[in-house]
This record gives sequence, structure tokens and C-alpha cells, in this order.
Amino acid sequence: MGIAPAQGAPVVFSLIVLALALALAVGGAELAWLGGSLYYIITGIVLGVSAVLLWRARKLGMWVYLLVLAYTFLWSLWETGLDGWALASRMGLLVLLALYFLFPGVRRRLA
Amino acid sequence: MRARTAVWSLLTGVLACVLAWSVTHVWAADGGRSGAVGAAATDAAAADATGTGVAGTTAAGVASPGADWESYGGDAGASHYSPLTSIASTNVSQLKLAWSYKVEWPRGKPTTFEVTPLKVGELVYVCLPLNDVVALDADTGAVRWKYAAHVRDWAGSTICRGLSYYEAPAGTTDCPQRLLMASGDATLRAIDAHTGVPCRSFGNQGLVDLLDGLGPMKKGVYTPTSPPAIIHGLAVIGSGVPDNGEVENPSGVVRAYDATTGKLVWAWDLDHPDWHGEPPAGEHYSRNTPNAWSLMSSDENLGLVYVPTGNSNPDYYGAHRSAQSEKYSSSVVALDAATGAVRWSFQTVHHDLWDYDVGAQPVLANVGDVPALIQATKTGQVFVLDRRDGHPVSKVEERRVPQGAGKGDWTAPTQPFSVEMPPFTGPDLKESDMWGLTPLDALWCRIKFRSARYDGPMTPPSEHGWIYSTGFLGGIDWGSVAVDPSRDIMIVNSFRMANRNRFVPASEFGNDSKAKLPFPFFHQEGSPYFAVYTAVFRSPIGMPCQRPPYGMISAVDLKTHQLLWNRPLGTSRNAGPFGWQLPFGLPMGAPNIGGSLVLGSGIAFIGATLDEYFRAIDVRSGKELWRTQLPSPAFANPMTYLSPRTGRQYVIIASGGNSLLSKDHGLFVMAYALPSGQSQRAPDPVRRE
Repeated sequence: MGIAPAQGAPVVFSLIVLALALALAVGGAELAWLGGSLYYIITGIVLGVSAVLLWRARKLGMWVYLLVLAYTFLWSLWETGLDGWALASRMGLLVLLALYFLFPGVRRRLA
Repeated sequence: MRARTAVWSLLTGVLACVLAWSVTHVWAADGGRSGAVGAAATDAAAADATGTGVAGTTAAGVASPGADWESYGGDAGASHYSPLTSIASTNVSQLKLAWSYKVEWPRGKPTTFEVTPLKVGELVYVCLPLNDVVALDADTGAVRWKYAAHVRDWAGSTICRGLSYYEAPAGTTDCPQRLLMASGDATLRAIDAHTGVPCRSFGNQGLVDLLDGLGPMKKGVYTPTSPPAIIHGLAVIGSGVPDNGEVENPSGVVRAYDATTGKLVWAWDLDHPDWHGEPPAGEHYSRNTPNAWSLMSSDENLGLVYVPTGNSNPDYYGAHRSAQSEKYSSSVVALDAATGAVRWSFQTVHHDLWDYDVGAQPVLANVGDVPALIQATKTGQVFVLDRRDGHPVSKVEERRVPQGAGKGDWTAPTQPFSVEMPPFTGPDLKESDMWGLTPLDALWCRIKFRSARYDGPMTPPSEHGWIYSTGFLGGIDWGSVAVDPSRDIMIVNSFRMANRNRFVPASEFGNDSKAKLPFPFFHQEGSPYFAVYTAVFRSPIGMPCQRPPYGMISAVDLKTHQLLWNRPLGTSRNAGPFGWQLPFGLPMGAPNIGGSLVLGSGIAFIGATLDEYFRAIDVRSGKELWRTQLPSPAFANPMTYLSPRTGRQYVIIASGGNSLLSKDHGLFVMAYALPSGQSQRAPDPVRRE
């Protein structure tokens, strides 16, 4: 099992998710160290898993990503309630990236 | 395909939520959206000389109450209220630009256009940055005369918030009606209101040098920006001085000059309470005492002038302050107009370590049977005091506050809280209030929030770093509040955006004591610290670290102290990441500088917001009735008047923005009125009490 992407893997998208995951994990570790929310370090790790799975062209990567979207939504509601601005800040980028999965052919190429 | 359906449902569900929220909020805030954006100028106003049906106003120009706007805040008590009713909720949506005046000002030259014009008789008086003055025709905006100030080239500030109008005692032949102005190059000036010519009998050919008695100083550090208060034939004036910088700042002395002759009548110098006039030969007024840079108000009957005070330098360290400075900083002080003696004072923040100087002009209004003074503050509190003796009318409680402060400094154990009035401070921040365009900048903000000390609005300064809200731009600043005395309603616009500060050791600048500091570092001379870093709490991409709203507009019932309504003021237009000024916006409650105007017809006008709109708001409900787009943000208070020639009511706002916060789109005075031929007196739908 090499480090090269699998056949049909969304290379650029995986790398974007990986970069996001790393930033969230590193920053999230510092925040957790300071006694803050654990959401960021957890999400960093889970998105990292998603990125690796997508790199291997596994459809499970998409499901893991959508899992992050789902629990982020619930976490936002729990943290700030129905505040549109707070929700937009937490969800915006993740939703924007998720639109990628709607492109035709993307899901077909994932095993 | 099951997967496809699931993905679609989840994504569209989330998007639908976000969209639904946006749409309902935008729709709600737009309220009665008007089509007046970009209204073309008409100069047909002068032709409409009917003047019909306006109570008390005739074509001959006999003034009715509210026909003129003779002082900065509308009256000596700064109510920001006009009894006029021609423009009312029934017709405000038809307001159009009647005329505008473009200020000649070099493109890109930094300034802030904060003026509230005056209107007396047929003329509208506007002071411009660097203190030139123009008199404009009330109906057409045509220039009737212009006064060139030729300020000394080292003038420290270009800001002129306004002028003061004064009618000299009967028999005065030189300038019987005159305008008084304090200029950025530290002079007090008097000019003829009819001709714009300097009053030769005032001071030295129309000028009084305010540097007299202050002792040696750097050029440009003593910079008045506000008009003098007029009381009992005196012009009372303080001055702006630089924040932070040095401890050898010039004095915060407040001086009263004879408004007819320009002679010094009294001085209130904090550390020399026994000096009542000029300092003895060879001496000068006390250094670095709290200064009065903002707008004063006055009560002719009580013979008192009310002075809002600032603080000694530097802003965030106070171990060296004199006892007198401690007593009178960040206060409102009532001075006897005859002598300058302190009759009473009320301190809004003890031992101020946050730059919570009092900027809001004291507003004089009757609350119940009590002649009251309403003092709004940058902490977002509103104190209501008996203006005869300074005793609180609504309860003030001394509450324990967090302790700390810089090395060798101390923290006041308690601070006053106006517990019966609604606060405009915003809720205390929590980690979950941290915000950003993406989870990444929000995460950065969370880390900074957790790393610095935050203990509410009175979080003490430290090397470790401290966050506090409302911040130095926050709460209620010089725009102050407006009071509708016919309904006992106070209109408050406020701003909350936290600061993130930290004391900085000299080692960060190579131990070079002469190092020129980059923004936002400032020297903290007089403290054991080399400098302070003081900035709005925002992320590296320039987004605020706390979630919206930032700007609010609210109404308070002065009888019951209840909040009647409370809404975000303004949209996110002209804001964005990386300093971008995005040309569209969602309702988020915008940064706002400047205040409101209330009409007898029950509508409030306000510019103030960074989004460049000028709005009319229903005083009872808070509903936006009208808005129009301005060339630049209106960081100024609006005013209104009736034309004596046509009987038409105009609402005026200065639109010129601020070089630090907005792009340079030019400086304008904008005049709005109902289209000519419109019913001049609309039925007032609001029942009077």
C-alpha cells in the first residue's frame, strides 16, 4: 500500500480536506490544552481520516465528511442555538466544501 | 440511488436553514424598503415658496419652535430633538435628496467629517475639516459666504464637530450675531454669522490663542475638535490631546471666554483649584490632567456647564496620576458658569485603565419631575443624575470588579453600575461567542480568548494580555443619545467590539527606547512598560473575533426604564475579510460612530453606520421606515430645520466617513426633504400624551 493516490481518488479535494484537518488538529490541540472546546481537535482527526479515505478513493471518506457536517450542525445548535451568524461561521466552509460531492461522477468514482 | 438521496437531503437541508435564516433576517431588517437609493439632487426647492400651512411659520420668516438648529445638540441640553412634524412616518418614505454640498478636500487626505451643521434664519452653517466655514442657503445649499480659517500648519487634528451660535448683548455693533469655533490649531475664533468675516473686537482680530498659559509643548498636541458650550455670555472650551504617548501632555484645563470680547473669564485647572484665571507669571496650567475633548452641555437656569472628562496619559496605566486627576477623570463635572468652581461631579469609571473616557455629550432632560442629566458612557452604561446636585435619579450600585493591573498600579475595588437602566454593553463574552469567516479563524480567536485574561468590561491590564468589551470604540461615544421629551423615550445607538491588549516589554523592539512603533503599538510613558499593543479583537484575516451583532439601536422608556425595543443597526456592507469592503451586506449590526436625531412626529434619523446608509426609524416600534444610500458613511449626528422661505422641513447629515475606517468617496453635506408640493404638514399618527 503506497502513498500514491488510488485510481479515481479526488486528489486536490483530499489535500484540501487534509490541510483543513491538520490546521484544526494542531490549533485544536492548543485550544484543548488551554481548556477550551474539544470540537476542533476531534474534527481535525476525523477530517484527517476522511482525507485519507478519499485519497484511497473510498466512498467511506465521503460519509465520514458528512458525519462531520452532521455533528457540527448539532454542536453549533448546542453551543449557540439558532443564531444564523454563529451557524454560518461554523458550517459555512464545511458546507461549501461538501458541494464537491454533488458534482456528477464524483460519487461514482469512489468505491 | 440511496447515497445520492441522502447527500442531497443533508446538504439541501443545511443550505435551506442558512438561506431561510438569511432571507428572513434581511427582509425583516429592510422593513419598508424604499426606492430612494441614489436619489438625484433637485434644486427646485427654492421655487416652492408656498410655505403653506406650517404652524407658526410664515413666509416672512417668523421662527416657530424647531425652525432653527442653534446648537450642536439641537439645544444647550443636547436633546437631539426637534418638535418638527412635517416629516412623519406617513410620508418619510418619499424623502428625497433636496440638495447636497460637496466639500473641497484633497482626495485621499486623511480626515474625519463629524460635523453637525447649525441653522439660523436662512443659513446653514457648516465647519469643514481644518476649520473653514461655509454658510449655505437653507433651501438650495448654495454657498452664501465662506470663511477661510488658514489654521497654523501644525494643527493636530482636522476634525471640526461643529460651531456655536451666539447673539451678543444688545448694542454690540461688531458681529451682533456670531459663530464661535475652536480650531484644530488651538484657537478660539469668532466670525460674523451674516458675512463670515472675523469679529475684530473678539480677542486678537477674531482669534484667541488657546496655547496661552499651557506652557511649552510639542506642536499640534493641543487640538480642540468640539464647539464651545455657550452659557451666560461665555464660551466654555476644553481640548483634545493625544492618547497614550507621553505624560507631559498639555493641561486638560477648561476655560471660559467672554463670547463677545474673547477675554478669559475663568479657568478650571485640576491641580490648581485656587487659580481662577490665567496662571501666575512664569507658570503654566497643570500637565496631563484629564481633558475635556468632547461636547459639553449647559443649563442657563441653573448656571451650570456640564463637562465630560477624559483621562490622564497613558490610557492603560495610572499609578502616577495626581489626586485631583483621580477624582475627576472619566467623569461628568458640573462647573459654576460664573466662576468655574466645581459644583458636583460624578465619576463613571474609577481609576480608568481602559480608555473609557466620557465622550457622550451630557443630555439634559426631565425624568419625571426631576431635571436630569443623562450620561451615556463607552462602557455602554447610561447614568441618570439629578443635574442640580449630581445625585443618581436611577439607582447606581458600586459593584466589586476583578483585580489586577500593571506593576505598581492598582485597580479600583468597585465600579459604578447603573443598575436600573438597561445596559448597552452586550453580554459577557464566552468562548462559544468566538467567531470567524471559517472554523479556522474562529479557532484562532478561541485560542487567543483562552490565552488572554477576560473578566468582563473591567478586565484589568497585564503583560499577559487582556481582552475587554465594549472596547475603546465601544459603548456610546460622542454621538450620545437622543431624547424625545414628548414621549419620554430615549434613543440609544451603541457599539460593542472587544479589544485585545497587552503590555509590551522594550525587548520586543530591541531595547531601543526611541524605536518608532508600528500600529497598533503605543508608548506607555510613565508606566514600567515600554509600550502597549491595543487593537480590536480580530483574527489575522481581519474578521471580528466575536459574533455579531456589533451595532445596536434601542429605545428606552425614561419613565419605566424599560427597554422598548433593541435591534441591530446596519448591515455588513463595506466590511469583510482582509480589509475588503464588500459592496453587499447582511443585517449584522454595523460599527457605528455618531448619534441620532428625534422628531416630534415620532421618527428618529440616524446615519453613523459603516454601511453608508442614512435611516429613518419609528421611535415606538424600532421599525426602519426609510433608508437611503450616502456617498460615504455618516459619522456625524443629523439635524433638522424649517426653511423660513418655503416652510419646508429639511433633514441634514454630513457624509464623509473616516480615513481609518472607510474609503475616500468625498465629503458631502446631504439635505433631504419631501418633494416640493407634498403636503407640508402630514397628520401626526402618533397620539401625544
